Amino acid sequence: MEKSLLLRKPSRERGFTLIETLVSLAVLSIGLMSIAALMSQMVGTSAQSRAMSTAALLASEKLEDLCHYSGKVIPANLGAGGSLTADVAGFFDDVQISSSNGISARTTSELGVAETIVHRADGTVTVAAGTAAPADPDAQIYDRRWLIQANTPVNNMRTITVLVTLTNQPANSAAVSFQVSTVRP
Amino acid sequence: MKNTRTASVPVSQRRARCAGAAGFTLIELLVAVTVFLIIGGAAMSLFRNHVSQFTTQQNQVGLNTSLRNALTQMEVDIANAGTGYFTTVDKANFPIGVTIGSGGSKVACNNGQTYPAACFDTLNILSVDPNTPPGQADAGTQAGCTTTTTGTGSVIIPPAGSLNAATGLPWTAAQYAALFTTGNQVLFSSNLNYNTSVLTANGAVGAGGDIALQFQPTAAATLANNSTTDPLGISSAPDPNLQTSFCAGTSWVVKLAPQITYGVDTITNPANPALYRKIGAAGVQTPIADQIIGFRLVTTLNNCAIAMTDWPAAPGQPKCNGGNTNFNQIRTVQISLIGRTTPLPNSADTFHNAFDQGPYRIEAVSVTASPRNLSMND
Repeated sequence: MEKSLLLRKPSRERGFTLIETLVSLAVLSIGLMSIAALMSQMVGTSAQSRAMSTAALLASEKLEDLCHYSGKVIPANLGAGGSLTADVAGFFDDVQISSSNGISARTTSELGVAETIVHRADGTVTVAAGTAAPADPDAQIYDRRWLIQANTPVNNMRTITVLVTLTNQPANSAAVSFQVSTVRP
Repeated sequence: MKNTRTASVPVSQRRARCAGAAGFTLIELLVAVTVFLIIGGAAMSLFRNHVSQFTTQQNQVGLNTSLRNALTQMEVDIANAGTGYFTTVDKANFPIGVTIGSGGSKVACNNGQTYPAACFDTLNILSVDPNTPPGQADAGTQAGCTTTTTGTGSVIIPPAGSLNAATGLPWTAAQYAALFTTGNQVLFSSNLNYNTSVLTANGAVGAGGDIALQFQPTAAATLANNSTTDPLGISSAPDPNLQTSFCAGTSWVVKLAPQITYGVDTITNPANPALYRKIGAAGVQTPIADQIIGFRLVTTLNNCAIAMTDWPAAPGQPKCNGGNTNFNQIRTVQISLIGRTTPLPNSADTFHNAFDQGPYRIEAVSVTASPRNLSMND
């Protein structure tokens, strides 16, 4: 008698049906998935904002460098030329900054000589010919191009435009690029 | 009838039913406690992980902020380097505003997590003392020209038209002489040439209202100066512009303001190399960023294809524009700064970086700063 009561007891009490359980699990998983997606998006956005601030820094420093020369004496590479859509020798460089091991590298072909300078966390600084930066899976590689237009927008004025693009954008992040321009005599 | 709640159910029966259906058995309780412990333990360990991750993130954000702040401060200082050279002085071929002290040959220098001084460069930012107008060389008793190799007395007078801000009147010889004191770094400048030295005596008023300056004798013309005459390394490489004769009418003496120096202090706490900023040779080192493991400077030169990584330029290094590479050719300063978060006690659980597998994170920043006041021949 006691045994049969015990056995019968679960069937008498109302538990959740399979359908109810499945529905609740589905709702729960949708919620969790959206939270996970949000988290990953947040990570991507924070990486993106970091990359954008670096891109802005690199663009403004190059613009300042290019503005350094007035119209009187302009070295060949700082005269009219360059492009924002393609790498033109003498009018672009690359800056590579590692996010994990401290390596920063800059390659330039300014003034006709391709050169790469690498600084590592062990204190070494190396200068090598060519534009081959060290392979680094964690590096953010910024491509920097500048365009100098003579007699634009009016005669005897130069318009200088610098475009910085992150060539390997972080996961879950939109493309990072920053463009800035100025007019100089 | 038996299961119906009525007041007529005997007390003994009710007690029996309650004991059987509503209480927990020991097994149930144990299972519940075990489940609670497992879930609670998991939650706790998740929380514990999260706390350390949060700390790590905080540290990394702090590192990023301190590196950015340090760079911003350096950029502002570099942008203002060379202030005052060209306002009243005839322009010599020396847009000097930045000098770099090389920590040594730039090879691997760290000893595990410890970084000696050789791992770091120093950056000096020079400008003209804003309170001391450049003095004009005067014929006076020096028969028209001062030869800097003798070290005895460049004779100058206050610049015409310059007023003493304290009195609103033209400088008297005594007031002007009092601006020059022992230890001041001065630049001699003519239209095309320059030299530099350190005063060995306070300025004194001499015959005819001239002010005689005593200074360390410089090296011969075109030769580099040493650390006695040039502790900041302004002329630490041979240079055709380094001349020794400065004549009345075309030459000036410029007093430099105490320089701003950036370097890394490896002595105070070897476990925490700190980037410092100080003003003047004897200034207090103000730490501006902790845990700096890399501070190297590279410069690009005026219209020169080769970036300079070692200063002073070695004689074998290529010349630019027909002249030796020297600080008067600097166009931009490239700053590489590498910081780390404070190393944690090493364990299998802690984060290990990709550089030396140390229990800390590493972050690098690299920017180029332009000294705005340095005229590039325009």
